[in-house]
Amino acid sequence: MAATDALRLEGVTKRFGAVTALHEAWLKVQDGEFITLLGPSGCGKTTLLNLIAGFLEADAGEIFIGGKLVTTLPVWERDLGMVFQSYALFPHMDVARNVGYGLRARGVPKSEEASRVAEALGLVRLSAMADRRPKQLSGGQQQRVALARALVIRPRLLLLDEPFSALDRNLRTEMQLELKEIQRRLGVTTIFVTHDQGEAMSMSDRVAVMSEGRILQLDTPEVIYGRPAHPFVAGFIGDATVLPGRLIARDGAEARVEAAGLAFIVPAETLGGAAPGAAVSVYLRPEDLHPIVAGEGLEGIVVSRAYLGDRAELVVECGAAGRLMLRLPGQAAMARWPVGAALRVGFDGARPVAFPA
Amino acid sequence: MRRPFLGWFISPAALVAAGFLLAMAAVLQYAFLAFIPGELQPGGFTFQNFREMMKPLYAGVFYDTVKLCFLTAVLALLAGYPLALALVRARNPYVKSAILIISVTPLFLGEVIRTYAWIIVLGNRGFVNGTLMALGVIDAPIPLLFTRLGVVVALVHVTLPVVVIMLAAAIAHIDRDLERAAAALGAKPMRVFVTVTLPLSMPGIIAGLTTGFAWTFSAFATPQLIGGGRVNMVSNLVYSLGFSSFNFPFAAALSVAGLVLTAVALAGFRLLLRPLHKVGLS
Repeated sequence: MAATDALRLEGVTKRFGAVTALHEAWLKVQDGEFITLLGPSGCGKTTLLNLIAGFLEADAGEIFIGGKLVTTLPVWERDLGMVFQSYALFPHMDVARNVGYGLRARGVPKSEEASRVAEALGLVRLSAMADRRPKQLSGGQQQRVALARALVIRPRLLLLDEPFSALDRNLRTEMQLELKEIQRRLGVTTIFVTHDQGEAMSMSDRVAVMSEGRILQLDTPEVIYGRPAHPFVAGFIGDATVLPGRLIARDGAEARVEAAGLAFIVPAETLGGAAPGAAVSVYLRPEDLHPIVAGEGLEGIVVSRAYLGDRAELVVECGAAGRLMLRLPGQAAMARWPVGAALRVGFDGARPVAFPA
Repeated sequence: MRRPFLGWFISPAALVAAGFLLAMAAVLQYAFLAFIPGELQPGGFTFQNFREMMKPLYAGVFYDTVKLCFLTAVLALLAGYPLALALVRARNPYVKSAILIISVTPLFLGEVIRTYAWIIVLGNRGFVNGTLMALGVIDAPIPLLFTRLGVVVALVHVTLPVVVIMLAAAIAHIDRDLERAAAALGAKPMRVFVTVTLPLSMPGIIAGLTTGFAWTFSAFATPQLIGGGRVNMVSNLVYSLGFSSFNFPFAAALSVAGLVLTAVALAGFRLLLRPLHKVGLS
């Protein structure tokens, strides 16, 4: 028998009145994995997290944590560490008492509580703040206290509910790196909820992309980005130019499609039952497109340009093909292609995906 | 910003305030004037009224009043907390409305009507004794009317709405995530309540105690009618001295003393509240 999964969901369903917030979620998380639930607001990711935590009760399906059935187990018996969006630090306790809360609830002796709290505060580099009140800490420090409080109980599962959304950009990146490093060091299985795809891509071992109460795709960030399994995933993750096209032929795992007068090879698996001749939508990533001097491509005019420092994003109007988005090194783009400049767009090496239109 | 109508808008309030201030000034002035038996006009300046108050007969009434007020405030708090918690936390809007209506109604009943209702309930042939006797629980009626217990019960009833509102305001302020975080950390509901919900309700508890205390101190009809002269509070003493004996100066002095006592009590409660400011709880 395979090692028990850290978390297993079997057809978990949650309805609120007439609305099904979560349709039969199936999920297996291995020990030490960092899984992100990613999706727009209202996609069911928070519902799923609350079901795992035990704040909500599933209408159908079973939840296993560490091989143990917990579907009807109350929150306080699930052995979880949870970090809330608002941090939820107890305002009437100092940092050390906040961090020690879960240990006291478990009846850990005072002396052990003190040493484990000290250890946890060291882990998040806040040893000097032990007797401060949460109000006296910065947002990033409060965040780290919340993390220490969740980790000190050595939870079987660490649940993070959009923990970085209240932080400004620089601090957010710093906290992401720090969290990821701590998570890797402790090897704690982590379920992370976010609507920020950058956060999801950079931190996760696997990402579950959710929409309208369903997990549409669960895979590594590379596969999610490079081989999206669903048009929603292709559109939600990263930027994409969508060209209307036609299926030419299928050839085993691959298929040939035509769009804007050009031929592309795409994976066949996402085409479903589409037959040759069927209309398809071809999703191209900005890095699939590049300016060329000669050869097969589309003629266009730069209609807008956004300079982002290391890179620049050009939108090129290409006649019938519509608007294409290119991502180029910043300096070169600024020097060579002002708005209004003519540009020939090539597709060499492009790995687009296509879905039935 | 210019607010051209501000003056007009506040003038009625200012008028009322001025009226009250003048009345208070008059009471303060009377408190230091001598009482001449048989005459409504007071005599000259004196401290006699305040010296008189030190007599055990009157000092005892003050002591009793403070005790009664404190007891009432505490009981109203104990009865009001679960009610306020249920009011804030109930998900069903009908349950919410029902709790709100039940807990706030006493506020809208006239004091005399409400008190009269209590007389009917507490009397020897009233609802409580009638029911208990019919059930055979007791043989003779328990004296409730004209007792301290009866007065306290009726005072708690009228104090409850204010306390519930104060508590509900404080409880509604508590971030539910804090309780969720505590539960996720392994705390059972009772532990969550004692270590998170209750301490964070402290501002409401203190506000409720304070207001309940002051509210009860000013009660008149309830101790007058339900106490039936056997439960004396400062307000009743003021009434009987002022309107039976026509000793206006002494009544005024008692009122001033009552006011000062209430102010001191409120200041004391505020002092209790101060540590909470530091924590950012209030």
